[in-house]
Amino acid sequence: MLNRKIVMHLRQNKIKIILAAVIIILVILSYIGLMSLESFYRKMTLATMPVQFIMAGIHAGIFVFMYLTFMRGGFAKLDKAPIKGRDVDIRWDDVVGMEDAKQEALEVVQLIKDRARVHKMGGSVVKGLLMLGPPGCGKTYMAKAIATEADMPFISMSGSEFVEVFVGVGASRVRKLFKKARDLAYGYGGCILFIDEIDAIGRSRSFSFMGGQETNSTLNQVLAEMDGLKGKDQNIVVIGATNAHEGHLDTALLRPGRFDRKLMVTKPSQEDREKLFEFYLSKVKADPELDLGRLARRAVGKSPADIANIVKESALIATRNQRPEITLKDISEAFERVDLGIKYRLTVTPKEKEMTAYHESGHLITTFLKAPTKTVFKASIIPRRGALGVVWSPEKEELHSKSKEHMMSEIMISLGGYAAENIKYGTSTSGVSSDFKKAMAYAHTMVWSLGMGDSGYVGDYSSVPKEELSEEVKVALNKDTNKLIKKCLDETKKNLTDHMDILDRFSRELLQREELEYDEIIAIFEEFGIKEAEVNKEGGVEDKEWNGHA
Amino acid sequence: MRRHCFTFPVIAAVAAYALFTSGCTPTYPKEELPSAVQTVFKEEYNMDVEVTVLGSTIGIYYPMEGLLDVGLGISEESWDTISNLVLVASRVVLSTDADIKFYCVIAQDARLPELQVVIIKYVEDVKRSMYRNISRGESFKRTLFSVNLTPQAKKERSVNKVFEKLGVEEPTRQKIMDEFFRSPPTKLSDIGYWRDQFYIKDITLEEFLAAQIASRIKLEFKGEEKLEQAFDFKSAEAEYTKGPQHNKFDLKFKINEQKASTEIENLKRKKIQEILKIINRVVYGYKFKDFDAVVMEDQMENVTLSVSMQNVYEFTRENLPVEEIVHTSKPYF
Repeated sequence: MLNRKIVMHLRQNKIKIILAAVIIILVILSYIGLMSLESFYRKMTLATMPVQFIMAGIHAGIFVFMYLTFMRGGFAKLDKAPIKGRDVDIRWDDVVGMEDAKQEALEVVQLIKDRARVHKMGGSVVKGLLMLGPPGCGKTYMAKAIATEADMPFISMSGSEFVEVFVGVGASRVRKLFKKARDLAYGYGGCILFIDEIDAIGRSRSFSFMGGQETNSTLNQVLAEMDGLKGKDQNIVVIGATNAHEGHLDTALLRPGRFDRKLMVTKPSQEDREKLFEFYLSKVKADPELDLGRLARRAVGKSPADIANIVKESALIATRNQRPEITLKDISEAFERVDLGIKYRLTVTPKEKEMTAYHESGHLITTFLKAPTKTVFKASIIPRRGALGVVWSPEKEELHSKSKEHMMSEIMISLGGYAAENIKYGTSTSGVSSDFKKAMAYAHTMVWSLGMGDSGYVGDYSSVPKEELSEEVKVALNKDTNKLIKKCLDETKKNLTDHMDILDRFSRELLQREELEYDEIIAIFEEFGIKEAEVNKEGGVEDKEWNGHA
Repeated sequence: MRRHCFTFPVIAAVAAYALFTSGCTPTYPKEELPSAVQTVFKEEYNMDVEVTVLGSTIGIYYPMEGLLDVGLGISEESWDTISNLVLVASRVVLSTDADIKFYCVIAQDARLPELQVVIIKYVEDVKRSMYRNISRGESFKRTLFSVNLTPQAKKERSVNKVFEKLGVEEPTRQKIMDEFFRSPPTKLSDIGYWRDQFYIKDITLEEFLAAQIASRIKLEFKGEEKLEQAFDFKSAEAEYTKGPQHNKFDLKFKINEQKASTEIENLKRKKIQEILKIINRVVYGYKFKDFDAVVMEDQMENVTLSVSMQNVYEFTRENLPVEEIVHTSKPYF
């Protein structure tokens, strides 16, 4: 009985006993070693022992660091800890403002969940889902929601995390990532691998000796791993997200069997924007009387991230103004801040200020009279974002295609400032540079790419290499571009000359008040018997609620 | 559970105690020092040495074959033996609890015991050299090394000549010798071994430093190229004198200037400057301040020069001109 107890005790404390024995043996050996030395050397050894211990510790630390860095993967080491789907905690209901994309994603989730059923029917589960769309539209958010809904481990990485200066490191990281995903899929029945900004590794491969080998090898590894998934039949779904255009990605990556599904996560529609405002405003204390439809109309072209930012800014503004809840005025101010930037005081001479006032008035009148799809919400001669003045005129509704007339109106708006300066002072300022850039870009695209020139050259000449175009064609196209600009300028000048009294009035008002709001602008136009064009009754042309921050 | 908590600290404490107390026991206890040294030499190098301890000085004598070559210089192969003698002496003095401050190694050629090699080292210098506190070059300069006629042999030869003239018989000669001429040496230069007897003294730091000053002057003026070209070194001797009121170093030197007469004054200044530098290095190296002055006698010029202790210390640090700090018995510079 006693023997058994001893044996049991020895077994239980095996490591401790071995460790103690090793220490005792080392001490005995050290003792013998020291005693073999003469007393002076013994003393010297003992005196230096603490330093030696410290040095040994430092060396051991360096060794461990080097070992972990270089021998055990080092650069290729992957620190990505998987997150359980339920811990991601982004519910499907939290995904708002992207209904179409959501429907498609939901289908993918169902496929992932009903893997067995799909197999039974002889189908194969989706292996890859590529989400495309502009930044801030909720691609990452959607991926998280998919992970939560599918209740699977979720590994998130950014494409740039694979990029390294050393060739092979990216590929090694890809291997490790997929190995980890396979292990998790084996353990949990599936895994979602989310690669954000996949364009960092997924752009078209270059087959030259001028570099890009690392990116190529990384992408090759991704392709190989995604193919490998099929062979082993593991429930791993790779979700890629990118802001880049589909055409910039490697075709091999986009073929069926890799990224089977492509999900366009675009900017939200009117209805989506309403939902987004409803969602974000529900998280803060806001005036319940706020008209979400009107807010949504105001936020044409805004991404979900922009809307979230506007609500966040509104909350800050409301707090600063010591209001108990967010009002329309706060949201209006937040819109301004997001779109126009923060005002800053710059000392300008009276002459500069006057010229700026005429310049901005030129833009304002041209916009009002020549661009019925826009609403002029504000004109200001307070410097913002490096400009001395600004006319804030967003589209009334999102436009998916632009007519020749619309584009010409854009050119005219851009030239409005220059025309006004010319008419009033017979000269112009450097303030027109960005306007000219914009006007030229429009005119060039219209003539070179969209066949809107007068010479009859129809086609996208910008896609043809310049050296393959005859000089005659180039001259003709450039002439057309110039003609278009000239035509727009003439029309703008005529328009402003015809409304010189309005131009003078707006300039005076701007000089006096520095900023004019929507209602003030409309009121001045109405003084001269001009009413705002009604493009879309529901689109808010008559939306007076924005007047002077209501 | 509590018992386990104490196991490791107890083992660690015992181990640490065992290791650290191992350094406390001296390898060569003072009671057995001479015999222990002999044993080491015998066991490790098969050398039969004689050892004596006088106060804080240990003397080691070794008669060897072929110490001197035909030109009466130290033969090549003897250097290894001398190195071993010094090495073992160093080891022994470092690992004993006896209060040994100096060791003195004497080697003689068995065929010609009238010539001897004497090496004297200060134990503190040996330690500092081991700790890399002083360089090997400095350690070498701090060692007193001399090849000379065995002083006692020289003395006895002179006395024997007198005995011969007087017709004194051998037994009587030895009796008289023992009685009057075989006394312990009073100076470092008299240290030696003759007729199975050590002539050794308990060396003091003061006389060691005085001898080191003379030795270094010789090394510098005969070894440093520029000095060797400028000066003709004849001799340098130094001793420490303890007076009732003042303690001083007495230095006598014969160093000639070799350049043309126009440069002599400069060379004289240079000579005194170099000598003072050496003295400064020695006293500063040992932080020795138990002296009031250094009295130098230029035997070629018959001039006595004296420098105070303070000026000796401040000479190099303050870059003082020699003319200002050296007092001369007659115009010198």
